[in-house]
Amino acid sequence: MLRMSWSTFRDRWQVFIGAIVTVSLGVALAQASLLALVSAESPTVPPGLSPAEETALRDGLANAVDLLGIMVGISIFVAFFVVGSTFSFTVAQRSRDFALLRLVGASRRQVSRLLLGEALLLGTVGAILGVFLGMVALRFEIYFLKRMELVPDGFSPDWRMWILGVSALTGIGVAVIASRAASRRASRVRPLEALRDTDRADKVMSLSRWVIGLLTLAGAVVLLGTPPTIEGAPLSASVLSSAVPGLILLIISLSAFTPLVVPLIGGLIGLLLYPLLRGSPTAELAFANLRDGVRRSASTAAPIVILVGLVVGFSGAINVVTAGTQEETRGLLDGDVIVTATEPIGEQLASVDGVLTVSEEVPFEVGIESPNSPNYDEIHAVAIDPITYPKTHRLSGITGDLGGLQGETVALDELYASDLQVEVGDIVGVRLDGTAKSMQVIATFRYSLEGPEVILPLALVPSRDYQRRYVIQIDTTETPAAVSQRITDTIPGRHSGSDSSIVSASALDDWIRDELEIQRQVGEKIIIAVLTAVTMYIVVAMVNAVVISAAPRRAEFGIARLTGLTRRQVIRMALWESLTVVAIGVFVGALAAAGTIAGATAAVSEIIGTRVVATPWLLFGGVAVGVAVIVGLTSFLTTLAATSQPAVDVAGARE
Amino acid sequence: MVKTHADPRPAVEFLSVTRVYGSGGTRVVALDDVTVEFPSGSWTTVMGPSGSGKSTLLHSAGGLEKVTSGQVLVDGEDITGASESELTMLRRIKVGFVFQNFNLLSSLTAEQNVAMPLKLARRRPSGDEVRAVLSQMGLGDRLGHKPRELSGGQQQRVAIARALVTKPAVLFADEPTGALDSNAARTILGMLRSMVDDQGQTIVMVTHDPVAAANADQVMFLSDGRVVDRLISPSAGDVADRLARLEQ
Repeated sequence: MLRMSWSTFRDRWQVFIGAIVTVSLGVALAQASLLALVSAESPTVPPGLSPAEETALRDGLANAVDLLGIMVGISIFVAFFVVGSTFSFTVAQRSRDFALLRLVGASRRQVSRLLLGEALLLGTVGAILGVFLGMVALRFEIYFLKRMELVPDGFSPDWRMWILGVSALTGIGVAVIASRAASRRASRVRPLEALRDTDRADKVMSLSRWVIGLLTLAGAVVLLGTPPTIEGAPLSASVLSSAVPGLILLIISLSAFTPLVVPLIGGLIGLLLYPLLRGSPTAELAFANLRDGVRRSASTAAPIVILVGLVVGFSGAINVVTAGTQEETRGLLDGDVIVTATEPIGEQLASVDGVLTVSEEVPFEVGIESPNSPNYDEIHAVAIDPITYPKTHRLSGITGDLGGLQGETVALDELYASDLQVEVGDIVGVRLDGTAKSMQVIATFRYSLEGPEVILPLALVPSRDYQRRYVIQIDTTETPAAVSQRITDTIPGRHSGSDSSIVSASALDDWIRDELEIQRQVGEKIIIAVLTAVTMYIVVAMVNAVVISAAPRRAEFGIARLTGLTRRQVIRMALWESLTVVAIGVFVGALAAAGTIAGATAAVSEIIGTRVVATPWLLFGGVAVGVAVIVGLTSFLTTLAATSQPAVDVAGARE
Repeated sequence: MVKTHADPRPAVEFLSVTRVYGSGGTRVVALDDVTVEFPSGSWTTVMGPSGSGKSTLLHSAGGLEKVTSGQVLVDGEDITGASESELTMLRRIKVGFVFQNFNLLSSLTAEQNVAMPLKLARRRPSGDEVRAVLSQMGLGDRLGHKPRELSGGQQQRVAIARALVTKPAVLFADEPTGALDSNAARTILGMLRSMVDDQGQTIVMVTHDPVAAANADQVMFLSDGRVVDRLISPSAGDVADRLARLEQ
């Protein structure tokens, strides 16, 4: 049987080349992200770094780990999805071969074993190529992440021998698992189908499609409907940790239901364009082909669904988080001017004319002893002055007394406290500057997106070197701009060429705007870093799907031309079909993205208490147009190639 | 008399077989209470107008289609209620098929196509065995050619070799000469004839062509799903007359 697989493979390499390309790119992508991930988790620190540089490197990498984790997850998912849809294509196109085999005595099991053999071959070839491509991809990825400042400059990934095994398993595993559904379908092909010239009009919405569609939909609803509760992770990672798996499940679910949408959208477009296309034979034929080839249309739409869904859904979720943070910060801070400085200047600030209240806070990282793991959690903390902080911050849901935050005490946000299984009055282990201490929990407060998870008294800040932030309330007769100006005039700082003290002083609204601009840029970088490679991969798959679906249609195009269509009309017909498939893919992908954005919106709104709306319309439009151009161009070129021979030569040919 | 070899048991037997497609307004009775025998070691041709049930009869006899009621016996074995894997074994061992459009696996050479049924039956085919069958078909020098490198007649001879390599009890042929020119058709029919005469092969063939039909030992005429007539040792002229009368 393996020899049979090999000879089929050799004979139909054009069809299989697409499958190999998708497997090897998938392996390359997963391998590169995985190597980067493990290197970031247990980095080899280059010799000659100062302790501070080493800490900076480790901190930078700790932040990159979540991002790289998402990249590994998305890469593997996309690989499965793309390889799966490519396989179902190659199987659908060869159902006559399988029927023939059944006719001359092949059992169902033999047919599925034949396909398993093929999947093994494709997986092996794809994995080998993927390992080499992965090496190139890794360099590219690291270069990219460094440029985006998402990993520190000193980071260099290590090669691990075991990655060869993982990549081999990924390639073969992806190919074999992805081909299972297709091979089950192939083994159900009945011998009599070898005798029919036309394709069977089979039921595309099979029971397994319903089951998979409904199960993944349920999973997506659960994931997207529950607010994120991951503590100790950066904000975006905590919302995305449920949004990304939710998005993936939603894409799988909606893809399973795509065949239901094909005739619906096809009909709708036909209806909308009716006045324009009335009597056009090419349009009539195109829509009839769409209705007739539901499986083909659904398979061609699959990569479009995943592209639109991932790009728009992922970016949308990040946008929602950024917008939510903006709203939240505005609600949380009750002040007029924000000053950042490199050393304590609280008293100087208080003496500036027009300044009423000065609240000093120092953001820094502490280690908290976790009941679930032997290590300390690295947590976002802020050290505050318990008298002025409540005046300038609208912390809500406080249990206990924040005013009692003195000596070795700590306040926790309520979600983190419940993670640690502690209440007000309990003791937690805290590591400050390398020393472990036991501290009493003095209060808990409501969880916020960007707010601190742990609050400590100012006196516990281990050194003067941390950057400080001052939230300042001013006299009602003053303007924030005037007071800011007065502050920078009276206290020396970078603005005046001095190397210490004030870094910036600005009105609260300006400060929030600037902070958010920085956040927005970080969000954008994350989107670009995670999605660039995946997008390129999906575009290859998209082109692949269009080429494969047109390849066996030479005879059909030939017949259309013998019926009287010109070559130009055949090309236009195929273009109509492709663009309608684009519309279907964009619609279904947009549904997946909308579900994810809605889930993230609900989660963020729940946390911050007000509704945020941030829909990436521009991006959506850009992706839709890009997809239409790529698919349209590919369709044009493949149809051009498929109609290059005289019609009469190809009309009778069977393939 | 119909020529038969030693085995008195019919190769294929239909007992009150009915095959109905669709229901209600689209209901079509393709076979209507058909009881016939196809004698072992002889060549029977089935003829009739379009839609008379010829192909259904052939497919039912070969286990490619289930019948609605009645019994189909192949080589004495009732296949009416056979499971999918029993039908696979039937196709592997007892029956062979040849069709109008050859139906060869395009990626395999002539030799590989012929060896395929043996491989599927997990018999390690000896090269000699396969080559002998192909040589018998006059294709000894075409072993390594793929279907697209062969003429229609040659492809059909490969298909016949593939059907016969397992030494089936019955060879079913559906318009085997329908896509061939008259020379190639004559060669194929001559080969089939000598298989019956020399090796006692049972053949059941469906055709439209009276000349092809005249090579058979008997011709059975179907109309509206019923056997309406028979001719023993027919001439092409007789066959054409009967057919013309049926089609009126």
